[in-house]
Amino acid sequence: MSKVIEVLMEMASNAEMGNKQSLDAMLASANITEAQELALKTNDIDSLKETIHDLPQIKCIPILLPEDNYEEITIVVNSEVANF
Amino acid sequence: MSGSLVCVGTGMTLGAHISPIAKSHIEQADIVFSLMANGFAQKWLEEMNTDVRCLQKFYLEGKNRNITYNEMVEAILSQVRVGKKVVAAFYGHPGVFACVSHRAIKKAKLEELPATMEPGISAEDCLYADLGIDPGKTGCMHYETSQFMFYKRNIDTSAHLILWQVALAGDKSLGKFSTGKAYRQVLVDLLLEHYPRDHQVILYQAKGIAIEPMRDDKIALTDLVDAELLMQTTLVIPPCGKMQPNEAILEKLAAIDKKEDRIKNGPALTLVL
Repeated sequence: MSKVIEVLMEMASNAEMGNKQSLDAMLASANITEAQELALKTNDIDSLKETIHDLPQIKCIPILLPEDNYEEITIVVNSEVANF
Repeated sequence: MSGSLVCVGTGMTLGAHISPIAKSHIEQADIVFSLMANGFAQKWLEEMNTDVRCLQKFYLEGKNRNITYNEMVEAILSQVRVGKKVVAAFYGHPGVFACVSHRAIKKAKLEELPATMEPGISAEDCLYADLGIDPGKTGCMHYETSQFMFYKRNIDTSAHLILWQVALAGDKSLGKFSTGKAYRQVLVDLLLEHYPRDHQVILYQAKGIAIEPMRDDKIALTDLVDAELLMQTTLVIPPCGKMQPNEAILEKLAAIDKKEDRIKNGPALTLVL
């Protein structure tokens, strides 16, 4: 897994990372570049993005449609007509 | 072999919110379709499974989202139909303000394909925690902003009013990525029928990654027109009035209380033979 992503996960899921000393120690021992370490310490998301060459582009997020006009889907299970 | 579909939520903050069962579904899926809110989360997902297919390619500015979402549903279900164990991973909660998962599950079930949903921590969950709002305190109304504008609603100004997708206020085309000031002015004018001009409202955004601060910008209602709004920005309107007692109901309840007290405290009955 990408080291930066691992670090972001650790920062988000380890309560100890709220402590500056613990955070600094974790960042120092993580196998990330100096630029990444600095970006993480200064909460600089744009600089962090620049350090990841293959970061996927997200152009839109899923939203709810104000009027959901999605047609009700109906399928015909048995189209044969039985005559009685 | 029968395919299956599980729609999971990955939560709002990368790494902090995903549930063990959602993570397990992602790791064990044959194919994971994804709609994440940022590149970091997408990359994180791509490292949890070797076959992650991003659904972003279906989005185009100007393209009707009904078409986009139906194409996404078809992409997901086409793999379920050929027997794959498919997971559709959405940021936040897969079933809150996201119609792709609901459509996909509904259609799968009509085709008698197994389909389920696993909840995730939603923006709404984060909002209550970040802004310190308890929806039970005075009540809380939630609307999609454009829907709130298109239809007549009863606004209760003694409860919180939360308008989602405010950046798309008034978009009838379903194809815009944001609407402009003129649209927002219509929304503000509508809200000014109920709230004072200087009423303080909050622009809220949950944090997506650990180093991103949540947004809780407090502005006057009229300043909404010029505010910077992103697709994930939510407008929170705190109450401007007090709850009004419902005297008629209170009288009815008092009468019941009185009757019950009479029964409880009345003279003990003795059986006389």
